[in-house]
Amino acid sequence: MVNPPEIARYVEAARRGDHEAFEQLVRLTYRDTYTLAFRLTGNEEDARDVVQETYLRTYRSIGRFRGDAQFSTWLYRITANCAASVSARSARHRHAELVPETQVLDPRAEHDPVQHADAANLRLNLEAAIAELPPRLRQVIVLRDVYELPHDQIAAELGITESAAKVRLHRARRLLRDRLFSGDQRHAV
Amino acid sequence: MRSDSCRRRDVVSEMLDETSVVSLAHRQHVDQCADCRRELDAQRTVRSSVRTLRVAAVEPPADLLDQVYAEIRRCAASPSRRLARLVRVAPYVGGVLAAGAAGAVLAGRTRRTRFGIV
Repeated sequence: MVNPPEIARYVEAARRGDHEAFEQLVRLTYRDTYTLAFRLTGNEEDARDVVQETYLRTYRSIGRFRGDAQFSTWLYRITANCAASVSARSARHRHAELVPETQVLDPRAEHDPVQHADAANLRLNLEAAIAELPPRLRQVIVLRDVYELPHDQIAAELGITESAAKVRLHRARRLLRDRLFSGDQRHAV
Repeated sequence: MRSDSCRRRDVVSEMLDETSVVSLAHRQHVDQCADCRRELDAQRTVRSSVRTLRVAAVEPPADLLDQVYAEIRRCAASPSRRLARLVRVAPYVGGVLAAGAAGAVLAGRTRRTRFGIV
């Protein structure tokens, strides 16, 4: 688990140009960044590109980080912006999306194996259903319902209007609900 | 053309968002309509399940951290970055030099005027 005061210390040092402090920031945050990138893009190859691009942009602009938002929120926004670019680029080169094989780690793993298995199944079903959403809808539902970013920030990072972000969110929720509660119970919760 | 059921689901989705403004009429409708309440419950279940993903990390590839470090070091060492820093700093340095030169000229004039050597 990332320790916010530790992050704040490294952010301050990195803003002053301390290269090692920036690398420590990367070490502390890259798992979260990769997780978000993977959820937004739905595949490992694009998620790698997003993470690399995210840290390059962060490195170039950390001097301008004013600290009026949490560093993690700022990083999420950069990740979302990079994911939108990478997904748009990939969509031009890729005709079919593969359903990812996700390795899930739960830091709050239950001791009860049955309960743990149920939770793991639920998570796998959800992840599969989210991965099958069209990228434009997936990005919005992940940023809003998983990471709880406000609509205006989601719209800004994806380069769309706030009302378009809301429309995509409603569509994503509808699709997800249909897939998870559909008659064939393919991804039943 | 969007169906009534789609519109109803959008209203329900709006109700899930604490930040969205939903009219009293819509709220009352959802309270009284069994279909809408079912939809709201279903969407609530889905959203609360989706939120659990926040704590489930996806394991990154083993070599990713080293790749990111390498990219950052390459970026830090690249001439274009050093040049960009110079370009950013140049106007300030130029401004300071120009202000110094202007000050020196003015001071010279003042001295010459004081001693009547105009």
